[in-house]
Amino acid sequence: MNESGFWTRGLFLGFLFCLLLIADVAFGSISIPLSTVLSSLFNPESSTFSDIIWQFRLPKAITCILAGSALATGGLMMQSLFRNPLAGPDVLGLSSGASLAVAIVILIGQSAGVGSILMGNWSVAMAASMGGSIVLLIVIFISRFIKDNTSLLIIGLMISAATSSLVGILQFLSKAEDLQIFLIWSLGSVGSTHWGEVQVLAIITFIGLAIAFFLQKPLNAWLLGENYATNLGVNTSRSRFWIVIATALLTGGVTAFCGPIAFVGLAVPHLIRIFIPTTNHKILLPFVMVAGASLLLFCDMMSNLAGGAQVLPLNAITSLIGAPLVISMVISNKQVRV
Amino acid sequence: MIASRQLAVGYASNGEESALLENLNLQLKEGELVCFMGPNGIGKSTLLRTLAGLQKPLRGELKGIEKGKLSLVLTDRITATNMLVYDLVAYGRYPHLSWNISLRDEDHRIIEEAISLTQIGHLKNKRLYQLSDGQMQLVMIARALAQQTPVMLLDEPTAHLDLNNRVEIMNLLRKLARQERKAILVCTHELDLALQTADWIWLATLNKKVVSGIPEDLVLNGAFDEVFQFKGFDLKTGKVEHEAHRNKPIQLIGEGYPFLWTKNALERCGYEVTANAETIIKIQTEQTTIWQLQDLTLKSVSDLLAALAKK
Repeated sequence: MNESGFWTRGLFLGFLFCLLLIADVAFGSISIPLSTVLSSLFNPESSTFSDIIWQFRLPKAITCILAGSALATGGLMMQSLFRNPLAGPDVLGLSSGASLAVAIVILIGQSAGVGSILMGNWSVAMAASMGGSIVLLIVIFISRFIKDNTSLLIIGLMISAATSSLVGILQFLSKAEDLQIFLIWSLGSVGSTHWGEVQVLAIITFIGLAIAFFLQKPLNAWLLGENYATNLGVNTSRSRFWIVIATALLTGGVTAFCGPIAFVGLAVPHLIRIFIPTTNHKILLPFVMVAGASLLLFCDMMSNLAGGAQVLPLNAITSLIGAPLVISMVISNKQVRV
Repeated sequence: MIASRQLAVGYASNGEESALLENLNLQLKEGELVCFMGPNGIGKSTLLRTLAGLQKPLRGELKGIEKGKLSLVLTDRITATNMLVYDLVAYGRYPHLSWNISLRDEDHRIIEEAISLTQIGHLKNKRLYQLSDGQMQLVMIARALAQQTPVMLLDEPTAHLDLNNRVEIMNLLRKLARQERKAILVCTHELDLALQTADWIWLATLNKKVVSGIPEDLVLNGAFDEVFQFKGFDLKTGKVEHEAHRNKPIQLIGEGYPFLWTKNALERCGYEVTANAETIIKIQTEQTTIWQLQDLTLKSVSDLLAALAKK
């Protein structure tokens, strides 16, 4: 495809993104007229609508944008590093580590009577980031002793499996009420973030995305495999380290504040590769960021609209919308290619 | 360009060294095509990877393998099959690009040059999954050319290709060595092609050494026979050995290609072709080729074989 093809599709995606952003703010359990949305955005006076928008809808929409672009970028990096279309941002085991830490806080902390102190967004976020960081440290530590990416992938998957079974044991031993709190967390949510949390998430995401952007050359080189990448002058161990760090920041940040959001990281890179057939990360990265944000905005809107008064769990929606989308696009394009 | 002294290559694991090839004193010179031959598993790829700096030598010295001097064509498969041919060739410019990989006019010119040298201009806008194995190898060679290195190392670039593609690749490499003054090392199993195109042969022997020399010397001194231990193939004539099981000597009179291929057919079917025998076949090539066996006149080699079998 030529340059102008990229620009047209880029503009189309940008337009779609803006549309979804406004729609996500406007629609929900209470629909707000479009004119009111726009007027209260630019002129934040205190009114019921304005409060809903500024205190609830807007932080939620921005969380969607941050989380969507972070997860999609993490997924793209993992698929390129491992040259595996099934890889997602969670293959390093980070989300499982985060889940285990959160499970410990919610399931054990609650029954030990410290629940009231420990509960609340920040403590869950702290626990999730600590769990994710510990797994990250283990992965980095092990990756110093192994030479190939496949081993790293297997180790990530094994860590996931081990932590998931620990979470399973904890769930088995817990009380029903605690279990439900944990279950709700594990279904993912973008609705519980306030401005303070959004700020922290934004900083983490921007750092992760910036690192990813500076990694476009090694990411391209990794597509040819380690031998060719080395011959092309890419420092493979250093770039692998930074790819792991960037993915960890992106996935870890999102998991800490929104829970383990499924599917977006795996699906968006594939959708984009079908939308713009290129393997160049210089083009893929910005497209994947905007598309990830758009998809999560759309899913969030659907989870608010589909359930009527109830807000449906985000993970159910991401998979329900994402899976048929990917299946249909893959069928019409015959084959998945990284 | 590349020179090794007492080089040993192989693998070291758990402090234990296992050398595949030892005491190597080899040279790779500019403008020369070197074919590196030897049985499977003897360490050809290991030596190539060591020369390429992808793994460390066990012992010895290696000169001239600084960064950016070598380009590679390996047997590693490219899994990103959605990639454009032009983009893959453009990878050759990566050592010269900064982090944001923007190609300058100069880079585009070098890429186009590599594409035209390998004559893959018609493939430029195709995707890798649309290419045949032979085309893919040409693209990989173009990518290596775009790196503009004085040395090129290729690991079995003609594997899985048909005869036509094998000849095309070897001729291209020979042309690149001559025209572009590159030093080219090719690991290959193509004995007949290597003997006809290589300036120099490296032959990995069974006692962990590498014998080097020009093809003809290695044929005549029996080095090839020793390494490959041919079973029913005579390297000096370039032919498969036949057993004259029919015990029927035949004298064949004729010339040119008809003579060669009639002889081929007779030997293949177990007849012995000698200078003096009772049975005489005459080949006459005027307007059409005919074969005369005593009073019989035959119009094709298969008719001739049938007539012989009846007698």
